[in-house]
Amino acid sequence: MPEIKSGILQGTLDLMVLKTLDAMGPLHGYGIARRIEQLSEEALQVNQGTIYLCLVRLLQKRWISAVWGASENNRKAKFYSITKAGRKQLSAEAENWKRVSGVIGRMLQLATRS
Amino acid sequence: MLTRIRALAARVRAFATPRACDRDFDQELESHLAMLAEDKVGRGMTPEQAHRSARIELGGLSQLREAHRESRGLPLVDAVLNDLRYALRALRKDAGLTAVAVMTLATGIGVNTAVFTAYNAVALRPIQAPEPHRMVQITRSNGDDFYSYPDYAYYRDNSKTFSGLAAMGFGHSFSMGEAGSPPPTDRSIVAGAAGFRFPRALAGSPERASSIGISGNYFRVLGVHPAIGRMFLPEEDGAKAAPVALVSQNFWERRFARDPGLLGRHLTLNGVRVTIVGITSRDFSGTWPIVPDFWLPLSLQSRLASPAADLIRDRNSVCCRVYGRLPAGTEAVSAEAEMNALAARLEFAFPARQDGPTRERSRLVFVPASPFGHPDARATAFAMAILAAVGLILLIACANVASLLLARSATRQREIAIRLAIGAGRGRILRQLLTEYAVLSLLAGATGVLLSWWSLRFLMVQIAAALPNYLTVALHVAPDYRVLMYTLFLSMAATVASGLLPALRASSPNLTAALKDEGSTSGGFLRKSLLRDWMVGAQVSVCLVLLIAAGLLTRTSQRALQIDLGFDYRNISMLHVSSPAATTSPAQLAARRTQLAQRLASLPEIQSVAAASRVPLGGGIRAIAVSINGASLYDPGTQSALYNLVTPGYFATMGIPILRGRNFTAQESRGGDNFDGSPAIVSEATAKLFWPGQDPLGKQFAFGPGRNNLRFSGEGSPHSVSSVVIGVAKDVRSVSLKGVDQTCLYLPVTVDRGGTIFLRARGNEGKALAAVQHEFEASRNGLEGELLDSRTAFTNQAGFVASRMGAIGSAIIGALGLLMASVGIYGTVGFVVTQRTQEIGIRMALGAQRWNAMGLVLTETMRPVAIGLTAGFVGAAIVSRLMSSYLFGLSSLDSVAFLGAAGVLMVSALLAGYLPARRATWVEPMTALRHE
Repeated sequence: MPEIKSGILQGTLDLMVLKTLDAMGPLHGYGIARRIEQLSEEALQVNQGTIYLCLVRLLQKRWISAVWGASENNRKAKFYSITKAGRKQLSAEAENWKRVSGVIGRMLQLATRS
Repeated sequence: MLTRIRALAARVRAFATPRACDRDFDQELESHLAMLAEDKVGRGMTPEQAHRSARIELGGLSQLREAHRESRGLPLVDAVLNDLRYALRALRKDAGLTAVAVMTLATGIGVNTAVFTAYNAVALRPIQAPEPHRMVQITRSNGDDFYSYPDYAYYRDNSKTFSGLAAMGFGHSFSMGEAGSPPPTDRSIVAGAAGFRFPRALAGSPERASSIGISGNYFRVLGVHPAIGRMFLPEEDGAKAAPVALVSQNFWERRFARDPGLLGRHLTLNGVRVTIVGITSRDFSGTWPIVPDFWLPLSLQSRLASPAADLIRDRNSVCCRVYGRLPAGTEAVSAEAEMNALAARLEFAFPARQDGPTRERSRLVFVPASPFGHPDARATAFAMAILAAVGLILLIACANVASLLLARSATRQREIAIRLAIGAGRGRILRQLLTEYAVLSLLAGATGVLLSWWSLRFLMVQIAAALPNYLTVALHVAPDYRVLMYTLFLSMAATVASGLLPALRASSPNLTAALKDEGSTSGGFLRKSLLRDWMVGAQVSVCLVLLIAAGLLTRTSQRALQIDLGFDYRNISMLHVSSPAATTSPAQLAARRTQLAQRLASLPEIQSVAAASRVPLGGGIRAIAVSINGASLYDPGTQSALYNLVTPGYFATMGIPILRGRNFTAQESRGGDNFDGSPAIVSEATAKLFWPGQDPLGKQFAFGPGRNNLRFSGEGSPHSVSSVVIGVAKDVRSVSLKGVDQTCLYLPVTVDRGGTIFLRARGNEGKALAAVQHEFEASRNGLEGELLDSRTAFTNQAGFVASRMGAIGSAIIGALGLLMASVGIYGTVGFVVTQRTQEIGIRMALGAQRWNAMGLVLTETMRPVAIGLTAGFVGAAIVSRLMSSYLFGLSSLDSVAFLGAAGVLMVSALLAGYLPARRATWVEPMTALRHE
């Protein structure tokens, strides 16, 4: 599904990263990218580099924080975790997303006039 | 909002530490790649394969770094800094061209800044007081802004809206102490070039010091404190108050070497002992442009000048200008209404007095207080004209730089084409080039400020050296924020004016042509030469306008210097004689003057001696009311006339012919102000005005102080119930250079009445001056004297000085403009011809004659010049019509200025075309063909 791959919205990626961190706890950039790919069952392939731009944005807004730590294989990696402000943002965004997707869903269910 | 601020703060932090951020991100990417590769190895890839595939999956590392940098920091600032770095590098690489461009623009900007600084220092200068915008000057709608002391006191005591009303009188100069050193004689070159000369004080004469009279509350109203000591008390302005004075710090430093003992000491001014109570701070000049030596209470100054004056009670003579401070929150309008109500009450209480506004004629109006007075429309228009003229110089400078940059962008075309080819946007290139030109203009602006500052400092020092040292003009010429803003604005305007066109052209080259190095062959030639033609034409027309305007001004100023004044001032020197009022009685002074005049008249070097109350072209213009039909002098309809009190020898000495009737005899001369029954001589214009179409001889008339004539305290005013016209004198220009005096009454007085003594030399003036000086010093008998040679006496008068300054200034402006334009035309025309070297070579190879090819080049280069000249003529005609009120004795289409300016431009354009054309036609055809 190439259209979806390229058409991924910026805000959507932010939301996915926040949710991933909320659900999984502290993760490094590679982990986040893997996790999003797994959860979307490989249907949504994120350009792994863009994850880092998204992380910079979220860090600037202080919705996530970062510390250097050691990975499972004892490799030095930067671990990101969601902050209190991030959680608040996440719930607001999730609410918004549900509403929008509900509307879209209803729109798509409209019978096509023939 | 808070989130935004946080984000911005984070960006700034990241921007400030780019290295650390880069390192951090590189480590992160490295671990990312490693983990990705490990995963891939786990899925069965060889380490090499895994590594390769991981890299591909992550995407281009350098793009990613660039993107990361942009999203974490301040990309715009980054870009601007990059542009700046690049601009500096490019400018440094082409140092020669940069220097030429900077100097060209700097000259243009410098001239503009200098003129604006001077304008700012004069017209826009507020008085020196805290919150100067709340200080207003109270003037009248008829332009007269002097008040008598009792009127001032009435306004001061009855106004409730002002927080204070202060008065400032006239400047004066007094003799100080008993005897001192004469002023130094070394004068500056600039003063010499401008023709300034200064009176020589005769030996034994005491030193002079200047003063200004102020009301007792002056410093309090201005809100200014003396640097040392105290200010005046309100009661010290009274008629009986003990004489006190403040001195300026300038005077204290110059004359007393900062002697701390000056405070409380007594100094003698015109023979009166005055106590010094304070010292005002350095360069403080209050509501006046000149820093005085002494600040004196108004009444004291008037008593020192003439002991008989009763300034405090004399409602009929004017003595001061009035300034008020509006309290915060008070509108000027309401204060104006209150003051006009007070004026109406004054008018009602004293209907017959001359001073004060008459209801229907004038009302009180407020203008912002400024030491130079409020500029009127004419002065403002003049300043604007000068600013426009130097603006044209800057425009020409911009055109020069534009053509320089165009020429350079041709050589840079390849570099730019490559950058465009590898994907830089046109906007990006445009921004880059404009940044470069902005840096250029700002460099020029900074240089221009320095240039203007230095040249103004130099002028100021020269002018200061030229003035007698009791006159300290405090011109504040240091560039303030307004000047700097103006220069910044000019620099930015210059960037756009000189850089936009080259930048637009450079950023849109024909890519393939430029890359193939064909930028300058025939393909793009037509368009380019059209643009250059335009530039040459525009430059020529602007320069022609400037040159013609400057030429007109120069010529009109020269005319003014040669104008026939109606009298012959060559060989006439003047002698001002005075004596300390306190030590000599008026009768003694009169006797000594008479003796002196007799002794001078008997000198063999002197042809004739006379005295008069007024110096032609000098100040002291006084008017009286004249009644030719027996009506009261206070009638609203009476005429008024200027007068001059002269000794019978005046007409012979000055060379003014008596056209009809006869001269005064010695017996007819009067000693005082009463001229009842005396004869009078009138000027031709006066006769025509008062007795049109009649024979003026034998006509009777009355005169005296009238309702509208200003009188100054301590001065008498001549009056007569009946006088008879015995002669008609030739018209002279003694008030203004621009025309003959509209009225002039000559009344006969004896030499002892006072006034200036005029001496006509027999033969060499220098010898006569020496003889007069010797005679005066040999038998001075308590008199003090100042001797002025004819140049000092007449050609130093304001009208001549203004004309000379005008001539010098406009010549400088014209010369600068011509220089700029010649260089520019030479550059553009020369460039076009050089570019055509190849074509000329082909023509020559095909057998064209040398003069033929030359003719072709010259016709083509002169076409835009001719078009520019035509346009310039039209522009100049419009400009000179606008200037016509400043031109006298000259048609606004003066052929010398018009044709002269056009000729000079033609010659420089021809030369600019000829020199390179000659070079081109002398080139061997083969060399020319190999040119590219």
